[in-house]
Amino acid sequence: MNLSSLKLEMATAGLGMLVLMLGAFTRRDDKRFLGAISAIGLTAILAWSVCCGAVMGVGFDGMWVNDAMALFFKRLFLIATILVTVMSAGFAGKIESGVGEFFALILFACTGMMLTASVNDFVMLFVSLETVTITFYILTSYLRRQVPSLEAGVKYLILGALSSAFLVYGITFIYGATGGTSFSGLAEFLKVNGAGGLVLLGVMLVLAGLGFKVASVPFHIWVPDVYQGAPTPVTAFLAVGSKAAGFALLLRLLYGGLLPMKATWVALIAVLAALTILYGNLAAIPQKNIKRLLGYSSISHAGFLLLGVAAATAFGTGAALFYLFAYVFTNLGAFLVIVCMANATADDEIASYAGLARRSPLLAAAMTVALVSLAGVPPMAGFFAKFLIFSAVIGQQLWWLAAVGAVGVVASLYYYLGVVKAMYWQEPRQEAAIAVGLTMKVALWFVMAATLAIGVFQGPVVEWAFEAARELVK
Amino acid sequence: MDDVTGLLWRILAGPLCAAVVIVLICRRSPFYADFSPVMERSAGAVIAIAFLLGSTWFAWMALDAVKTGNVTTSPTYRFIDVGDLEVNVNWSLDRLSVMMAMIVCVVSLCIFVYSVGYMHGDPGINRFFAKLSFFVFSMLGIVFSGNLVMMFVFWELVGVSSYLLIGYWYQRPAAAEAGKKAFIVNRIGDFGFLLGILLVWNVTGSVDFTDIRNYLKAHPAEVSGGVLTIPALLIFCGAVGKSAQLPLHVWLPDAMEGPTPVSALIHAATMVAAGVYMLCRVSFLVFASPAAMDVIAWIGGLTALLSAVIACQQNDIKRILAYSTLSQLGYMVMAVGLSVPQVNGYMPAMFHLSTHAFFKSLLFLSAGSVIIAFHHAEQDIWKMGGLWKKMPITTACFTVGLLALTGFPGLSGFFSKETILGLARERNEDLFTLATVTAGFTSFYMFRALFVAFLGQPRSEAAGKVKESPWVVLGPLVALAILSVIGGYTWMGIPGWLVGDKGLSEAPAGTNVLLLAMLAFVMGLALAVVFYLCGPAEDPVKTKFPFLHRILWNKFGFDEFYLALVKYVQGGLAALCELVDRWVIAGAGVRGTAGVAQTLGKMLQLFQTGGLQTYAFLFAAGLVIILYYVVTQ
Repeated sequence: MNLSSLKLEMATAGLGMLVLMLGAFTRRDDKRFLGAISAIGLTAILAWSVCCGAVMGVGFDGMWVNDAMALFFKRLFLIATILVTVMSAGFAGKIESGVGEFFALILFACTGMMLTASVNDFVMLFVSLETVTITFYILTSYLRRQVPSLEAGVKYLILGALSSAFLVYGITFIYGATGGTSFSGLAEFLKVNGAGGLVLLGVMLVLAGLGFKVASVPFHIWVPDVYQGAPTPVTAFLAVGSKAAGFALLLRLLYGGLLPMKATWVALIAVLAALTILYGNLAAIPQKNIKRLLGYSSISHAGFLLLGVAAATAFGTGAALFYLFAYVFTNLGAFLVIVCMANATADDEIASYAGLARRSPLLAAAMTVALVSLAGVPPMAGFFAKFLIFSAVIGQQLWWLAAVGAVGVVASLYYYLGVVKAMYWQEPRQEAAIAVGLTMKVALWFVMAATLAIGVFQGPVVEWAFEAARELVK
Repeated sequence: MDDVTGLLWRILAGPLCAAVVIVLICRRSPFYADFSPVMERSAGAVIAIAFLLGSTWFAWMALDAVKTGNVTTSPTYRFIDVGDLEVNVNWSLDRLSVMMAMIVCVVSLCIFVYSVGYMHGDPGINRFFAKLSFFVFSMLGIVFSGNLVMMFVFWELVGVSSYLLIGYWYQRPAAAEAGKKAFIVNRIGDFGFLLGILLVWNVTGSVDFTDIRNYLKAHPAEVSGGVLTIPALLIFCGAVGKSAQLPLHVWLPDAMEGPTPVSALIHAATMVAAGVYMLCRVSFLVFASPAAMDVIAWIGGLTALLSAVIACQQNDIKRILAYSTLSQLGYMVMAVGLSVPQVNGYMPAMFHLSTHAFFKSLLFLSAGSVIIAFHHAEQDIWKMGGLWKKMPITTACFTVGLLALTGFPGLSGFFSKETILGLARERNEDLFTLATVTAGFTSFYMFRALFVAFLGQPRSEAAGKVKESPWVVLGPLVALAILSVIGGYTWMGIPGWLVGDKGLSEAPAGTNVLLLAMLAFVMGLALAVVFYLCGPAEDPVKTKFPFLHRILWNKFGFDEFYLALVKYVQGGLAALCELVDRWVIAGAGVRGTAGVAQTLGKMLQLFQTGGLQTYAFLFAAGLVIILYYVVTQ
């Protein structure tokens, strides 16, 4: 039972190995086919997880749990990684060397993320988190002859190491206090002794480490610089995959280990959510670079996700899960356009998007769908996600929190629609049409359709997310 | 019981399909490049007429089915289901609706054929037929609606399509303005209608005609004492707008800016009749409130008189007919208000509606035939004259319509008008007097138009050169002329059909009613003869009674009053709102908050120094603040 419950992760890691090996035997110009192998392999694993590959239950002495929520997240990561590999295939021309390794690293990161979904123990937490983070250190600085990429890599490495240090430090306190590393052991301890002293210090340090991953204020400070400098597919992967992994761990920890001190973390997360929303949305307003803009936007979305967590009900958690699902398609849609644009214009300035509707109606439309969904306009997926989050918050009568969220939404409309305005109502700098490859076209159409479809036919996804949430929250 | 729901769908689908098909295929297209000229010029008319023929055929079958009895329709699906409100898509199928549908179809068919001639050579002819078809679809929707909400939906569709049709020549500012005016004035009435629907739903708990009727029957105590007066009057507001009654009559004369077939269709047989039809449809509701019935009767009577008076000094041939339409609609509305409150008590109103549909569209189309002869350049009767020699058939048709309208014995209008007058005599002496006086004015202004425009000598160069219109125009005229003559006879069976086998306490027009009506007719005629038969170059009323002329020419100043109302009240409010919007909302609200947000955003950027040490410091500082917060909490 124990090993078989790991088979999705093992398959993904194996796929990574395979791609690495194939990469060594592939001619330089053919490396894009590695992207195709990765995407097809991941699709197969996704299909496998749906039909028969999911073994449910608890294993490895309670360190590992495979439940509905774990499966939800694993599929989410698989879908996100598939789209990121497609995006990377479109981006591969910009990578000087090591294309095979690039895809392999993406697959390893995906493996790490899938591990986070099943974590039920602090050691597992650290291991899975570091699998993700260390892979990202490499990915972020992958364009190693470009200063921005290197700078982003260094910043991410040092700040990431700092946060990991806090995290480990916190775990030692918890181990010192409870004598174990399991979430359930912590919960037992808190129930008996209450939260205080060293164990509280430890818990807060661990939460700070997770706050770094999800990019919550005040641990968000790395986000704009790293998002702007990293290769675009890596930025996209950071924005959806790494953030979702952080939320998977956060939810596991909050409901697996910290339930007895619920009142404390609800109050804390509510405040952090409000600050995150305000910071992300306000600081995004003056931005000139699209990747930096989406960096701030990603901070603000972390805030909205934290709203769902702060509601601390099955409904709120389900809403957050739905939000993540919608966010994957929406955000990756925006990044797909950025990759296409970067191939054509060589920079990521918003000014370069002026008049895009005339140069490439498809790109402009895909970007508009993505931005409008991020802003939460019906009938897009993002609208229904925000609707659920707000319902959850209002259901808990956290009026002030809902009000802050509303302010954030209004501010976000301004900068998202600013880009739309540039695309449709400003004169282009140059008239040349932008060519989009077939794969990217298919991916763009798919993401647009999914963003709209999730918004209109929310039923199945809502059911799925809420089922996962109910099992977690009970 | 035969379920004939499918039949109703087919009747409705005809014109709708025609509209869709015309819009989709009647244009230049690479798929049928060789046929493009045909498609652009004449396909629309063929398609519209073919589909309408189909609908007419199905309407005839529905009529037949109702005659044999035992038909039913079933709700097709649930339209709205929110809380206590439940609206199904269901249909009314009874003698009232099939007869109305038949009238709409037959008159529309004549008008469609006529339009082929009238609109010949117009570049937008396909658009015209698409709009006409869509209009007929909406109208048939009103006719067959089985509940108030569906009726309201189609009601609004009629409003929209009338807007499109009146403003068909959108390049002309006057036409665009008239379209807007019709739409806005109708919206005012519709707002009342909507409120009325809500109130009726509130009182009876349903919007379905059958359910409301059953509720009223089952709970006589709860709906007595004027509970239904306000709802009935609000619903009547809708009819006031659509049927152009006082004080919302102002849109109809302006709507003459549309092409003449549109005037004939909208202002004779369909749109304006929709108001009266709706009142008949909800007659059980209206009959439950005597006070509402009084108001309805008086508004109808006053509209009839006022419009007839105004019509006496109009010079535009279509405007004369427009005011005459207002006046006749006033008769119908008055008849609804005076009805004997019992099943099928609305018979007189519907009877007059049917005959009026025939003779008024005949009159409009004859006027259109004259306008064709003047190459769409002249509508002033004082520039016409002597047309009878050159256009004998048009003149004859116009005369038949005129005699029917004025209630000349033996023609359809005579029978229906006598029925209404007889009813008025029995129910309300004051209104009877008013209606009889109106009849006198009617014969005056109609004979004035005949004498000035058709008889005598040509009054302008153009009038001397007119030619009779082609047969595609005259054919429908003759058909409508025949219907105008025979429409009222018992063997045509319109009143009998309406009353059905339920029976109505027959109120035969007494001899003195007949005599008084004939006296009014003759007096109007005599006055017209005195003033106009001698062929004056200018209107003698204008020269001899300038004051009277000015009042009537200005239509009692309704338009001016409304303009002033809009200018000062609405304009004042708008100015106030503009001030608030500019300084409070846009200035303080929008720019203020935007400025604050921008500034805050720029301030937050200060944190983003790019320096790694700063970042690490902020990270740690944030952690310390959180720890402090948690520990002290």
